[in-house]
Amino acid sequence: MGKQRCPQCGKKFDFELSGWICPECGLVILGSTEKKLFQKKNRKIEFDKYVKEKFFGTLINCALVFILLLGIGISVKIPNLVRERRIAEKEAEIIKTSAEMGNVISIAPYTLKFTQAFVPDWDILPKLNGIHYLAVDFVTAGKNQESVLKNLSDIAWVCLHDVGADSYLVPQGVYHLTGSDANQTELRHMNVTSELDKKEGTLIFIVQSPDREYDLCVFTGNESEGYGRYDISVNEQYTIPIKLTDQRTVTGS
Amino acid sequence: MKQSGKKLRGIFSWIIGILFFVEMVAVFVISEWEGDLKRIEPKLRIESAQWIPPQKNKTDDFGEIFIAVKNCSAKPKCYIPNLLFMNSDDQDAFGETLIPNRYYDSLSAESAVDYGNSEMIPPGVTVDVHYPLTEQDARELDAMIRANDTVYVRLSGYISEDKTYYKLQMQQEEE
Repeated sequence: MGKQRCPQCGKKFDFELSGWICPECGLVILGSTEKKLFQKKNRKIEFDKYVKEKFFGTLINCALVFILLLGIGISVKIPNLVRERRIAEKEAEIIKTSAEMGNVISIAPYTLKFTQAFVPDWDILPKLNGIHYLAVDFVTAGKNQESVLKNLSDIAWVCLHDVGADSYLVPQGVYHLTGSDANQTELRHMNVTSELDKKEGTLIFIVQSPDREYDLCVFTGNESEGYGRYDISVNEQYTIPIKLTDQRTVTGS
Repeated sequence: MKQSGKKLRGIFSWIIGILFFVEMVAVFVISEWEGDLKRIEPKLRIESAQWIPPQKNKTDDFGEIFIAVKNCSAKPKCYIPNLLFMNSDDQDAFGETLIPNRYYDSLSAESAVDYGNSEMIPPGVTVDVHYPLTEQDARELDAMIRANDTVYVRLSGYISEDKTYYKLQMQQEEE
């Protein structure tokens, strides 16, 4: 069995040779005490053995998890980069189509129709020197067009081409049209919007003069990464010459 | 046992260090690749550039540079960029910056609202942009023309194609 320490005084002696009595303090070593000492010694050996044998296993596991996470990260990132590189290397090829006011434009899974263009003479729009407004009514339909999460504005946007000045102008949001909260609310009630995000809506453009030649341009394409309203990879353009109709009179607050 | 523990801790530290280094290298390579991607992305391109001299009967007219710009990308460029004219096609050549004549400039001056971001160059579209010259710009341009007969123009900012310079065409003054 060999020498072991006395649990009371710590003296090392052979339990069997000394007749289970400590020669130093006289403690009688009972069976339970011996068992306790034996277990304590064994635990230490087991722990040391565990550290020696399992350490490398744990280390390898940690390394594998690390490499796996790194690999997943790279394998997700690289195909995206390759795809974006392919798109980036070539110039955008955009199919140009002509349309007329009142035509139904199919932008799968939605449809879009511009019903009328007019010069709004609304009290709620501020009358500033040199500023003129041009409004275009539209109607949209199709899958989930009522949804606040997915609608036509995810894959299409509109701008106005001032042919004479060769400038492309975006529709104004209610914040840019008026500073009055009451008038902004009123404009929202009238479905004034800067995007094709409603079933029925009105786009308002600020122009130098309503008497010039204008084309409405609709750009459609694929939804791409990003949250900007023009963050769409465009592949088709519709051009609609503007023909002004009698204005739609609405009295504001 | 203590010796063995120290050794194992050392090995563990080394492995973690090597993995960290590998990850840093991977991040660096991917970032560089993304950076390249932004550089090669088709952007705005000058299709033609022409100098229009001042009209003789107007004292406040110093001429202008008229360019046709194409948006080669699939996404709109939401503002009209400035133009640089310079005496050589070197990256760090001496040059002057011109501000474009924007659609909303006169309207923005009249009202407090800034409509600068309301004018754009849609994808696949070529637009004509006028860059009026100030007296100082006209003098610089005249000096460049006298010095080496050739003036280069390029669009400023990251939205133009890198290192693309266009030779400015000179329109003869009408008699």
